Amino acid sequence: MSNITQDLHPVKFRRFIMPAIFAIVAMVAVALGIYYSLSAFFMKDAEDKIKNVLFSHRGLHSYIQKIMHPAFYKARDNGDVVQQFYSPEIFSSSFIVRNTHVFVNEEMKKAGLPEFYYKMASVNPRNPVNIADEFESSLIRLFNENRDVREFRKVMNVDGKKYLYYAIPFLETKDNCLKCHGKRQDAPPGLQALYPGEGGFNEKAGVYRAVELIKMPINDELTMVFVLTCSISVGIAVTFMLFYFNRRLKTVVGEKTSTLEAEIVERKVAEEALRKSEEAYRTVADFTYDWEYWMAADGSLRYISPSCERHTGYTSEEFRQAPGIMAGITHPDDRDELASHLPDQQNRDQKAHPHHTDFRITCKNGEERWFAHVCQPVYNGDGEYLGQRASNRDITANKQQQQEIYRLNAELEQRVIERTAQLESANKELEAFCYSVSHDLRAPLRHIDGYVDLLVSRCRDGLDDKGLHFVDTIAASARQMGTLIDDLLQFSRTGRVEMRRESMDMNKLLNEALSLLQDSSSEQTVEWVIPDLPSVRGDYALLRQVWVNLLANAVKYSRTRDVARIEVSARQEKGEIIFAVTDNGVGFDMQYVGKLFGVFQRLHPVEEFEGTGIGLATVQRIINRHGGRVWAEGELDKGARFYFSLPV
Amino acid sequence: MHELRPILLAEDNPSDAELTLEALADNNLANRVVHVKDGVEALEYLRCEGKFKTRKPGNPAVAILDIKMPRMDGIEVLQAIRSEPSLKMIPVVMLTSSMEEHDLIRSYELGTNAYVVKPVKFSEFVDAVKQLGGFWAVLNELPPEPI
Repeated sequence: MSNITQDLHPVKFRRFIMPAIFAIVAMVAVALGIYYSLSAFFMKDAEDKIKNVLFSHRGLHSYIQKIMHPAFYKARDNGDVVQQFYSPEIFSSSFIVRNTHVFVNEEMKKAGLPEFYYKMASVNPRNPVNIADEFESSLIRLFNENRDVREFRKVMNVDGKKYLYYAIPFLETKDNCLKCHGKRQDAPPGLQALYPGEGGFNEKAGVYRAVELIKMPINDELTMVFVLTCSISVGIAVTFMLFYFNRRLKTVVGEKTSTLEAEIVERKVAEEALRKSEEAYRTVADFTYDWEYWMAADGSLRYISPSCERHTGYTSEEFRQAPGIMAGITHPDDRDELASHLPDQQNRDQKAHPHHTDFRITCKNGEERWFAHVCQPVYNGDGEYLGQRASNRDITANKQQQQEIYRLNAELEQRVIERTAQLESANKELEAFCYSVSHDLRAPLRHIDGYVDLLVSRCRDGLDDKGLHFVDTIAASARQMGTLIDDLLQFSRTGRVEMRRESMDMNKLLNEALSLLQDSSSEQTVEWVIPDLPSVRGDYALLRQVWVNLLANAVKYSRTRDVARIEVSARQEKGEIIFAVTDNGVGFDMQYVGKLFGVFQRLHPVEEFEGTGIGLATVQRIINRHGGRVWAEGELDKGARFYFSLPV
Repeated sequence: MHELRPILLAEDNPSDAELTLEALADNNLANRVVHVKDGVEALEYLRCEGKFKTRKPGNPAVAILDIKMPRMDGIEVLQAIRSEPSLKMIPVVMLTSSMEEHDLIRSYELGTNAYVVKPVKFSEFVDAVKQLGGFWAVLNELPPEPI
């Protein structure tokens, strides 16, 4: 808003200066008009007052001349008055009027009214007080020479005071007047005696012999004119200004009103947006399923979601009125953790991660419930700490499940311990069994062979060929059983020996296996295809056994070929290394593939291919112990391929 | 006149004993073979106790011990021999039916001089015993007899 006001300033100033000049000019004109009108009015009024006085004096002159003088002359003619009698107090109208005026002024003074200066001025006065000054003389000449001019008026400055100067010609000299103002010798003897000079004599009829003049102070009137002019002008100016400013005000008010209206609309929109936002936030906050709150630094609740009632039984109002409920319903064992899990306020980090803890409460109905509490400190834009915002999720069911899981786990662990003990004991029994097999079962076989040998060596002569054959068969069977027992023991041992896991060079291992093999092989021609093999982790002796068994099998079952071709390969896929041994031997029927890896399982008669059927079973057991798999592919008379995999 | 020291054979199984004695006899050894039925008897012989109280004192040229015997097995006998100053110099050969790794290791730990598995085939067994007898009773130089 402040920006707009500043921008409007120059425009407002330009708008204001022209009307101001116009108003000043108009005001000056109006003031001048008023001044002249009022001056004229007051001058006329003053003039009328003067005329009033002058005409009263003239009336008095006329009365003296027209009534008093004839009456007096009649009384003289009748002899009531002596011939010589003359008195200016009775005969001289100028004397009478002048003195009357003195009395008038006295009366005026008494009434608090301004006095008038009055003079009857003549160039030829009988009494020297009435002698005209230069200006008055010129007036007398003016009136005599221009009979149309009946009056003279002038505003004059005397000693800093303004006066209205007004003059009219005195009555025209008539024949009657010449009785006293004609020739001296014609005048009454009393008059001649009183006035020795020629003053007042020798006048002519038809001439103005004097002027009557009044000077009236008009300071009050002028002051009145000035005051009124000013008052009225100021009044008009004020009114005009009021009108102008009213108009301006109306415009400004209009502008302001429209701005305000726009602001109101804006505010309404903003308020609506705010209300919607508030509603959105309120909805987000209030319709949360979890028990949410915002606790101020002083421990008071700034917000708590209505869902607290569902979880605790206490309403949000109850929480607000008594924030102590929170700690009160918390399980005593969890109170400290709940209160102190936020870092010290002094050392708090604004970017601190949310803090988690689980706690129990006792609901209003006495039920115990578990909550997962997560909270973080709240700060405003200035970094001021505003308490903590927390969310509590009911995890009672989870906790119960967890406890059930703990219980089951403990039970399972116990069962595992028991089962392990059983297995260990079974293993021990098995070991004892194997021991006894190796020791006790071999002994009778040895005895059979020993005694058969002794029999043959000592009693050869008593046995015919058939007898010798029987004895040989007994010895061979005993030895066969010995081999079976040895194989079985070795197989058992591969499952029981402690396995070491070390990284090893498979190429070296394979070569060792080959040299072991070649020691016992015949002059059979074998074409070996052996690539570079990757290193693996496992038990050296056991894996060597795997190679020995697989390669020996390949050699054995391809010995019917003129040239046996045995290929070893390796590839890595999906976290394991797969090795394969492929031969071009007699192969096998895939429908018996499931029997290949069984203990003492054979797919060929012993007359054709010797062996006890323990080799592949041993391979499977060793590879399984390494976490790998074994499988085979083959076709009768078309060779076989044996795979084993080891985890990387 | 220097008398050849006897060979002590501890073997509970009569057949094994007979066959072993046959094999030894087959070798034409001049040494006398003393056969005892278990570990207890073997120690009684060595310590000149019990029924051997009256025998002429002296250690055998070699003690051939079967492992699995009643009362006291061969390994226990070996342990006793090696822990007795007067007996510990006696050469001991474990002659057993089984190639049990545990027994093998244990025997060598206790200080056996040899560990021989009886072959099933009698001719091989005879060969083995012949070599044993020849080596320990004839070729091997014995430690001086303690006075």
